[in-house]
Amino acid sequence: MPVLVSKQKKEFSRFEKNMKWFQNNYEKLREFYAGEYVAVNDGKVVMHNKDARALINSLRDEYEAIGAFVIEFVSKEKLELIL
Amino acid sequence: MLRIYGGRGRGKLGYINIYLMCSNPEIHDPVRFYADTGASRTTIADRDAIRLGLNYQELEESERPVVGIGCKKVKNYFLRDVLLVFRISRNSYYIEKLPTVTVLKNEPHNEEERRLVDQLPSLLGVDVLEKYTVRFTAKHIVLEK
Repeated sequence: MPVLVSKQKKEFSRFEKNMKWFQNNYEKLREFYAGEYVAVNDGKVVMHNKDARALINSLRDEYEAIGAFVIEFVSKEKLELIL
Repeated sequence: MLRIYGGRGRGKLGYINIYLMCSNPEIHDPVRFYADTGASRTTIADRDAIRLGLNYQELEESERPVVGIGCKKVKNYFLRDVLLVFRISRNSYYIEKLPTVTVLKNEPHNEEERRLVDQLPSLLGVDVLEKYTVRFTAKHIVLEK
């Protein structure tokens, strides 16, 4: 079985940290970014947009790699997900 | 016993961060998957497909549409021979190999629908979950086997 190489391990760890930061700061993010998608990296929102696809395209233009970035929607309402 | 820990996200749903690997098309990126015993297959949602840079034209299209809670048929594609890499401790990982992972391609009719589609998460389906006992704590989802 292959194992993650060092670069991938670092990317995975950064993604996990970014996800944790997003979860822990969600209520604060709602004050500023409700109704928008945010891109989180290294403990901050690096970009935001109402359109997820536009946000991803802008991130690709700006950054070499976005694999570790968390891109999530910040909901105005407390929506329930029934999957 | 093998234990994989995930978090509790929106609506207290359980999610697990997974490093996704595939050789054709080449993918090596982390993705958040919500554990969903109502999904028969592990599925990459539209927004994550874009984030991963997937080109639907290069993927094999499924002949069978999938139907979700919205009761709409959705086009879907396959990724073949995918590795799902789970973290089990700081420096160790566990790999699940899946012959296929489904990639969704919703076709929203307007901006409002598209905004909703882009909120849908990727799902860790029964094809993986059936191998584990799934339990919840206040802050975590735990897969055990």
